[in-house]
Amino acid sequence: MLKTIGFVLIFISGSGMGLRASYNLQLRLEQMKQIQGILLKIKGELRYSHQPMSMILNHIAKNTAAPFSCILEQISETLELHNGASMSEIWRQTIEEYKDKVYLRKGELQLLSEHGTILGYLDKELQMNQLDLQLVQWNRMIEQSELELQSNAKLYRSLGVMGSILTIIILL
Amino acid sequence: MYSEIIPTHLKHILSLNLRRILGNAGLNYNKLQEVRLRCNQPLILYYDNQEFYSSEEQGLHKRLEQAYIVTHRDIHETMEYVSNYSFYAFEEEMKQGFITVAGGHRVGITGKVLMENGKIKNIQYVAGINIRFAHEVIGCGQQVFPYLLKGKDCSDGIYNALIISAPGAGKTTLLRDVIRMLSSGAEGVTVGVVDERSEIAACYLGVPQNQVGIRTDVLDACPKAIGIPMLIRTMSPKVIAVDEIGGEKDVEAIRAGIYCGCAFIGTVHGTSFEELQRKPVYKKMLEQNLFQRYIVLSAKPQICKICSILDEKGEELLEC
Repeated sequence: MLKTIGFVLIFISGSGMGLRASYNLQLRLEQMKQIQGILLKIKGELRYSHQPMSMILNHIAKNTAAPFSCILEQISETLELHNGASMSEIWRQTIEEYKDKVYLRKGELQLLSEHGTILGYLDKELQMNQLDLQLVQWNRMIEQSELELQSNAKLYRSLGVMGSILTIIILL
Repeated sequence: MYSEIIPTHLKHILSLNLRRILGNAGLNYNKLQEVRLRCNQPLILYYDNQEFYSSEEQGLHKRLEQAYIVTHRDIHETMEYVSNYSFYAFEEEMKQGFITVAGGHRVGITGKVLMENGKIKNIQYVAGINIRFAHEVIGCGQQVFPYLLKGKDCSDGIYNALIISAPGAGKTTLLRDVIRMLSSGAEGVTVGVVDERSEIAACYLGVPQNQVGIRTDVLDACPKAIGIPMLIRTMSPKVIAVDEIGGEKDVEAIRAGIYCGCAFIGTVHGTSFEELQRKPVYKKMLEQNLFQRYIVLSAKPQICKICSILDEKGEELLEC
């Protein structure tokens, strides 16, 4: 009886791990698309509104899902504090604080941290061009991530199930 | 410590170093007039009508050799805070050489001016900042106010009035208080303000920072010639107030506004009624009796000091 329960647990946990790995890939892709959306919104606000960056980020945070809503809110609040840190430092530090709550990989986190370095300047055109460049990079990453999702999601799920079955067979 | 003396919104526009220095100086905010920052030059404050240097250990003093030397970092940091990390949002203001911050305080900027097609594109390498603290003089319009009314109160009608004074004598301060008085209280009227230089209401993000009354609508940073017809069409003001009437277009817009039935209160640079009569832009306006009251301010030493109040013929109603 105990043996059967153990096998069931192995099967559930193995399959669960596969499903989780596949789901993480899905979440990563969704978060990358969210970032793309945020950058597009910032670009739109820069073009059409003359609001300070703290207000722009706060406004976008209200229409964005967590964890990015929290990230944007925190950046906005810290900007209002005028605590001696520059825009890029505040942005980078906030991303660093939230890095465990996002499903992005190192390169993607690096790119996300760099956004703070291009915002706030006098030249709007420069900022929008820089945002365009970064959007191109995100586009490329999203395409790669979609391909990876297509090829790897099923693989992870199958590996989870097959791995757990294999473990059960070995234990038998 | 310093937050009790300097209001938080002011503290927040200065660099951390300067906050500490001014905080330790134990200033009375009401006496603080200007803080001047020049790159690699001593920190200078205008306080209680006198010039002072300041340093972390000494507070306010007059010893140049002990003055705190403003660094490029101080200027850069202060500019970041003044613009709230968003220089692009103040592009138009920077072209004019100043930014209005919360509280209505004006931050003047100097540096390398970049030109494009004969117009200022922006100011690069900001090297000098002058923070002028706005201090309203509530009640300075009391003496003038009865002369603006056609009857007992605002509902009986308001004369078109022109405040004449030399720069720095308080014409905008007086205009602001008159606007506040016209717009406030149970008998107040709707006042429209076209605040071309953001000096009257000192709007920050569109919201007046100075007391301009409960029935006042402000078009901030809008040219007078465009703003006056816009206000008449959209906000139906009983009175329109404008600062520093300067060109033919301004005069034409005011004339059109008066024909629409609005009362006007404005200011002009000058020292006397006679001087205005000699200036071509105003001569026709005076001949047509567009204004029925002229308030002439004394040049010095007291701010908003009334010199005389004249009627449309230039005859004195009040002489001080």
